Amino acid sequence: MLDLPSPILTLDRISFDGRFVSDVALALYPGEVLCLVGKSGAGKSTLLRIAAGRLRPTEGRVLLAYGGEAPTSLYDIPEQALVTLRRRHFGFVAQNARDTLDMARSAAANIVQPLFDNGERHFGKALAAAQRWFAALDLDAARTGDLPGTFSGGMQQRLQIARALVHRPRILFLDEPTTGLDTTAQALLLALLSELLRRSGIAALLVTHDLRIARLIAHRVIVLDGGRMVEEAPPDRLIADPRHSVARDLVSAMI
Amino acid sequence: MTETFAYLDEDSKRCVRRTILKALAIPGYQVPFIAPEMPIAYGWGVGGMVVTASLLGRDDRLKITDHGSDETVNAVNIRTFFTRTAFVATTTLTREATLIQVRQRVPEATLSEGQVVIYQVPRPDPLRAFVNSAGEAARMHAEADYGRVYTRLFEERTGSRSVIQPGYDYPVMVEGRYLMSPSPIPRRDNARLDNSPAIQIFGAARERRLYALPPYTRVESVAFEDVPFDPGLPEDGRRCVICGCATSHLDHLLLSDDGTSEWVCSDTECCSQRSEENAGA
Repeated sequence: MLDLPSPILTLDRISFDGRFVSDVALALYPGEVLCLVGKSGAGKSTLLRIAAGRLRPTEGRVLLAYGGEAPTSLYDIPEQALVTLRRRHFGFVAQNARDTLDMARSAAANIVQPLFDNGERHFGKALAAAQRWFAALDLDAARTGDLPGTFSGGMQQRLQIARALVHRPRILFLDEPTTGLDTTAQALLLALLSELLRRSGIAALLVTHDLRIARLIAHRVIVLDGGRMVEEAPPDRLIADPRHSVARDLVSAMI
Repeated sequence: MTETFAYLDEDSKRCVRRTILKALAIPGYQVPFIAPEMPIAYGWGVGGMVVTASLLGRDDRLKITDHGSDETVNAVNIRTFFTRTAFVATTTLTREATLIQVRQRVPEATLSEGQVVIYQVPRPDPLRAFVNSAGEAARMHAEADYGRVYTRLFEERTGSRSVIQPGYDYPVMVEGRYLMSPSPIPRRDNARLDNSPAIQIFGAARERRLYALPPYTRVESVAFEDVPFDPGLPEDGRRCVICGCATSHLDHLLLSDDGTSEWVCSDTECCSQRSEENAGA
């Protein structure tokens, strides 16, 4: 049983435009991998962007607890403070690598960019970080100077993950990170990701429409439908005994 | 009817001088300025000329150089222009000048308090190499958000094929706060900007920006904590064919119609001085 201290991230009655996300409340705990599942249009990605400080909700608050201080309400602080907070405490992996990687910068430069954004000014440390992440993600060390566009889709996703984790954020947000990858690349990416999260203790909020991914990596699953939370359960229980019709459809789709 | 002293009308000059005061108050910060028209095209040194025209007084002594030379077409024409519109005395000696307008070099001769060095600047914002939006660049300056500059330095050191090390216009940090373009001076000249007793003003008319360094301002070339800045000094033993100097900044020039090229000092004042000293020795 996962030991749950106070949540690191709390979504307090979040709504967005009344239709896309409606009255969602959830908590993410340190070290936990929480999966948001649902069909297309269920509001998963919208909710993820709101939680990641990238989209202001029309109602509700997003509270981040860190450093033993009182939780910070993300959308009640100045815009630049939010940018700084996002850079320091969040990592984001998008469905499309082009949304986060700078395709005109080398792979190694893409990985270490968050370090420099957070004030690192030591070349040796940055270089060591790039090399360490290339090794950790099973990328060819001879290709650190290559542009991201010359890497395969799976490798680009691994570059994204390295870039998202290099500055040791508190929370990793992932939006369908395995979409478009073949099954072998998916399995490799998920195994690497699972191991990295387990070792680092970083909390993760993952969006997917595939319960197989949730089963592999998540501690808890939340099912969304029409912007509302309709079911919440550990992945094994959800797959064994889905109660909501959407959850049953998702389980059926696994076979 | 009286001709306007130094070409510009007094209202425009007053406006530019206000901008200069603001720029001096916030070293390295780019201040928008009016950049009134001069009888040359924007991008050909209007920024420097506007600043010079705004500061020039009847008792000033003006020196104009281009690439360190007092004798290029650009230098001669600008000097002639101010001689005809302001009737001021001119000089080729740095120590005699009160205003020194330069392009692409910092004078090699020692500067002193009371002097003003005016730089012509084509691209005032070093961040525009990283972001297309002027608004985003302004935000980055406001927040001292300079991580991307170091990412580029990182790429240079790791030898990415997409990056070429800049030999000139190498960005500097002013008083540890603002990232600044030193104008297209060779990066070995960056050290001359630091702790200079002279006032230094940078005018970019095409981009409508002006920035400045008050005397004794701390100016450091951007570098990593563990990798010192490389000023790019030549190491192949080249010497000036006129004065024999191996340490000054050299230009590679065609010196005859048969295509013969030689290295000569970029700073003609210092080169002449050394030649005279050599002849007298």
